[in-house]
Amino acid sequence: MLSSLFALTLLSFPSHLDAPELQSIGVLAFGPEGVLFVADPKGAAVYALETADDGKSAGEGLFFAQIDQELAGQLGIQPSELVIHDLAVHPVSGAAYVSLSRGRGPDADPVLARVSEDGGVVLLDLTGMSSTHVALTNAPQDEPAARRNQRTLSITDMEFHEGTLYVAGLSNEEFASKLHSIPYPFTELGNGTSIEVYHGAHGAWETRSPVRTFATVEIEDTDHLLATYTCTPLVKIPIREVLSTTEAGAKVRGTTVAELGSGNTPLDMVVYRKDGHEYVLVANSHRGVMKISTEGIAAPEGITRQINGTAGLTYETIDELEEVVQLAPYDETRALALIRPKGSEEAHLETIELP
Amino acid sequence: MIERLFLLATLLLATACRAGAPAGDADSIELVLAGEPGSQRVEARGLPAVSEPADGWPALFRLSVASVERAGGPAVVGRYELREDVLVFEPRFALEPELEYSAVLRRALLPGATGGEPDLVESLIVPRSEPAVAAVVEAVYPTARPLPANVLKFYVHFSRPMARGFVYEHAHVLDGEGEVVRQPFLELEEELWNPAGTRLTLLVDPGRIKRGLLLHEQMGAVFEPFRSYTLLVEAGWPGADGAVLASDLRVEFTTGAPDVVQPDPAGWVLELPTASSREPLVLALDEALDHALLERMLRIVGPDGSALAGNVMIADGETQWSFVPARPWSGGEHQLLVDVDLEDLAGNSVGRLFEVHLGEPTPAPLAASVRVAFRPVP
Repeated sequence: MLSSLFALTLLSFPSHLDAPELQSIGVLAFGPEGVLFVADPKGAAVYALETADDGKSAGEGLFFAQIDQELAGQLGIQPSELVIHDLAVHPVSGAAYVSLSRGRGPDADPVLARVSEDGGVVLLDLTGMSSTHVALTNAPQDEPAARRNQRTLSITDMEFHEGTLYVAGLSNEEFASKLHSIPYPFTELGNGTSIEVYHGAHGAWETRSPVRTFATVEIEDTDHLLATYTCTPLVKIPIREVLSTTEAGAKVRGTTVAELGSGNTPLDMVVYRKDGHEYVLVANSHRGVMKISTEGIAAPEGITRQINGTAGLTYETIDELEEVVQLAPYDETRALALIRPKGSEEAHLETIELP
Repeated sequence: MIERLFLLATLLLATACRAGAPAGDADSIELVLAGEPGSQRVEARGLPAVSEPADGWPALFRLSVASVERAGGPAVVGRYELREDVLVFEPRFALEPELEYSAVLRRALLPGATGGEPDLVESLIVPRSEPAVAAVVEAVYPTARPLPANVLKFYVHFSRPMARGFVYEHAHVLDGEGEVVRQPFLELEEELWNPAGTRLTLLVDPGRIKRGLLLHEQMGAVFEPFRSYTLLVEAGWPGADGAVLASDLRVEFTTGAPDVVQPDPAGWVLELPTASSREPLVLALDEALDHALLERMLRIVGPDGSALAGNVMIADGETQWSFVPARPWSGGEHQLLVDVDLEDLAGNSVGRLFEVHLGEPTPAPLAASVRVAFRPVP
């Protein structure tokens, strides 16, 4: 009796539940039951880590002044040698997970830190953690004639939605725009499909474009990906279309719903509801934080006429959030922000009210 | 007399012994760096019998980055091990060379201390095991001239690994008057480096290149046709091991018309090698192509269907590709496999134009690779 129970337990665990072997670290995204997805761009892989984080959030928000000083001090480096890549908030414990690199060289150590509500900052010991992982498709083939591999994939964003992990990647060589959809739990057999994403511009031109950051949003009862590209349009793509495109390399065309204009490199996006309306908060590298209304996003044709100035969905710039460099959802009414005043090496972490 | 001397001597000896009892005597405790470069540890040597304080070992003995310590920051994370009279601290990550660390021993917490003893502080600096060598720029691609006005990428090759985070402060474009062109490159947090950190990809802002986009309307194209420009790589760019790029590098070029034609293998001229030799197969391309993609998107397959090992060389402003096989060519039909993602300098690939105008008929999509058959000359 006991032995068959034991056997059953063994069978239900996924295979290869090992400690993650990260070559690098990048974007983060939470999945079901406290699983944290961690991108390893250098290793061209994504890990799913069991955070084993059972605490329950007190709901009081998070604040840590000079977080870079704290992290650098613990790591034994100067704050200028610390690179913070991404933030993600544990949906139950409310702790902030921070991915960072110790150093700026190609062999910088990847580090995952946890900032808890009580102000504790811990550098997690990855050797003690359980994980599964998946290789991203389209890694270059091993070729006898080719030189040592120079190609890398920068993973710009990830999000988990209803059983699928979406991963956006950008190559340092070919101008491609891969969006991977990977079923989770990861299976041995399939590591998802990758599709080419295109966008239109005023209905006339169509080009590939790397997706920069994206979020899932429901438009008229249909799930969509709302994506910002590296060339400024904000685009909606029905998820159904992404998932039904099973041919590797097949293309999916997004509908442009807004053009964010010059000087904007979008960094992060948070979708939220306030006062009965839906908004998207986009943190940009140069222009602060934009609050975009999704009013009118359901219009199927998107932007087809040329419009001067910003086009499509209306937005406002939130002046008070000028120095936000990272943004992650925290709860229904708040986001977690990493704020770095211009020209300063100091950064602090705090929860902010969604505007 | 001798008895008094003996008594005195005994007294002196006894006093000396008691004074030598290490109740926080700075002379007997040393804080030192030990171990090999890259795996250094810090040791507190000559300690009396100590045990771990209630708050943990860091309360007694800690290492910090000196500047962080001064600003009230935390200690370096690591493991402690007590080995007789030596408390060893092994940092979790290797200590940084040439960075001042501060090791502090709280003498007031040692057994026998009165509580007023000052801390023992030692400034420690790990020497660099090899002198840092300044990087130089070894090459910048494309070398083709003129460049199409809608050129999409530059590759900058450095002699040594570089530090990330400094690209957009040190890579600039100047126009014909020497004025800085505003934001020519797509500024990505991640930056686009190869795994070794020696090759940087600079992506010209595609939003400004692409027609019909707001960014293109607002800021205009980065490069105008038939003008002169300079790509400037500035000195002071930090390398991964500390030494900076010693001098500026200027790469001058003129632009031609925008390139809106796809590369076509049908237009390539093959110079065939002789069978049984190791002469190169030389391709004269129909236009300059992307240097990085030329290195991996062309493959030779032998008559038996297996890929041939050999050396690829790219020359003539990226218009010539040649392949020298590791073993002599056999006779028989070989194939040159061309990946359809092979791009020209403006991002047009064998399979697809960079920008497709939807009003015009689009060609049918190609298979994953184009095959060109050839036979070495008998």
